[in-house]
Amino acid sequence: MSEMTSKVKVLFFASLKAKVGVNQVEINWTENARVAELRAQLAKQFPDASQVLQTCPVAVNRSFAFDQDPIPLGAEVAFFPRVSGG
Amino acid sequence: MQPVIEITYDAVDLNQILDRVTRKTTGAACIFTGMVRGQTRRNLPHETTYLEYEAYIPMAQGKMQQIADEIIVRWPEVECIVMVQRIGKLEAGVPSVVIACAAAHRDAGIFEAARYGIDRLKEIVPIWKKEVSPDGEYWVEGDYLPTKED
Repeated sequence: MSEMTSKVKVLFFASLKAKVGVNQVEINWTENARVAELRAQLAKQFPDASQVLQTCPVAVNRSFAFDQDPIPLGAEVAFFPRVSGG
Repeated sequence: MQPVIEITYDAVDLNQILDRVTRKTTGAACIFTGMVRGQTRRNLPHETTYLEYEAYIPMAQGKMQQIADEIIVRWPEVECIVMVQRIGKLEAGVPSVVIACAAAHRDAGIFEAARYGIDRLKEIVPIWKKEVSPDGEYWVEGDYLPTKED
């Protein structure tokens, strides 16, 4: 029987990855808590990057997400700087 | 129409891209390409040795597909779209990105579509570049913050 996941996976990219020092973390999560709560939790966990974590673009399951959006359990969340491709 | 979307570590071959947007019915293609600039004169003049590109690949592919869909809605006569972003270490002078749009005729929106494609890619596709110069290195950051419409 598979165990019910109670986490979300958070990925970091580019300068933010350098600032937090890891590619990804797993965070214990309450179903459908909001993006703003994850920002606050990560800012506490990574104080050196707290300013960026509070304001940078966020994606949930590979779509852009905003502070009031809920994050489902098992989601793939990404925090990253403003993009600069091309 | 199924666009070709590619994020690759390999060198970009512009002739091959032209082949891939060519159909029996296409008589015009607009190919935009961006290259790694070795010398910047605008704003803060500086030299660039190479750029290191990184992508959130699965989301970047999805967003490039979304841009192709947006192009087709705006310019329905565009028959074929190829979007390629090269990532990894790119020396000055080599192409880093290509947006190619083909249609039956040159007045079918191909110029505007390619322009729209590169502008949107720089807004919403999760790719970043680190600039390495003789003076050090820094991550380039765009100025666009995505909205709910993106």
